[in-house]
Amino acid sequence: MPNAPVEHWEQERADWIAAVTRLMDDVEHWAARRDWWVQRETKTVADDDDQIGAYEAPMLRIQTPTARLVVEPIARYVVGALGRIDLAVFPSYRSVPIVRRPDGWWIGTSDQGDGKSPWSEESFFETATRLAARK
Amino acid sequence: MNVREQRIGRLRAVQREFETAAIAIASLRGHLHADPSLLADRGLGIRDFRSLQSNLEATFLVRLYAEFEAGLRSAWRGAYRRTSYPRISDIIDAIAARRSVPQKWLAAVHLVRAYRNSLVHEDAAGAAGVSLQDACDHLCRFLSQLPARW
Repeated sequence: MPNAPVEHWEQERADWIAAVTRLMDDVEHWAARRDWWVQRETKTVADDDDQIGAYEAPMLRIQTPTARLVVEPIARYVVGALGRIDLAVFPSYRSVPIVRRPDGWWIGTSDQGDGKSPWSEESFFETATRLAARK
Repeated sequence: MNVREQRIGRLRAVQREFETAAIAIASLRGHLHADPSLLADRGLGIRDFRSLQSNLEATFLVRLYAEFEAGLRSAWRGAYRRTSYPRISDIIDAIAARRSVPQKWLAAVHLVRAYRNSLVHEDAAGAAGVSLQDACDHLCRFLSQLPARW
């Protein structure tokens, strides 16, 4: 039981995990089209424990021809949005947020500044390619 | 190393200094045990040593927070091109909103800020204590959300 549960916290948690799962499905599908190696794992997320308890959600490790990337859920409860997933590159761990808003997911255009683009295959690859170049 | 990493490095350096100082104090304790008059030449005594020991973590926490605040104000001017000088709590909240920082991370930073304020304003009963290690982790995690360069 969370410390300060939000109303219908179990449903909120299920909705969030479902949204994360759908985004990971997108990435997995898009990456496969480019023959990028993808491994799906499970991450225990504890930064929402007050509102919806700790939970397990999918994350991805991706090997592109030039870099290793990770896509991981950060939290459902973030300031000014409805959730956040990060796309990061190894080994520098530079990352960009993928933020969930009422009108859908938005991805940061770089690890510099606050620019964001609507979530799409094109915006994912643009950002992933930019991050990979700065590994 | 980018500016963000440099700023985080400055906080980690304060934490390392604290750990070094703690080792030095443990060593001094041993010397004082062998020679209780060790500090007397400088007009200092066991009471001063005990005061140093009990205030050490709080002293470093104030320094740690000063580095954090300096980093945020630098980013406010450099990364966000702002010329205003708002309260630091407002800068923290503004950056948290811009960078979609998890609420838990933001709350942890405000906890450190409140504890630091209670130390500086001699109102230690007014805020929950935070260890230097935890404070450093919370503040560095927040700084890691800033843009890489400015």
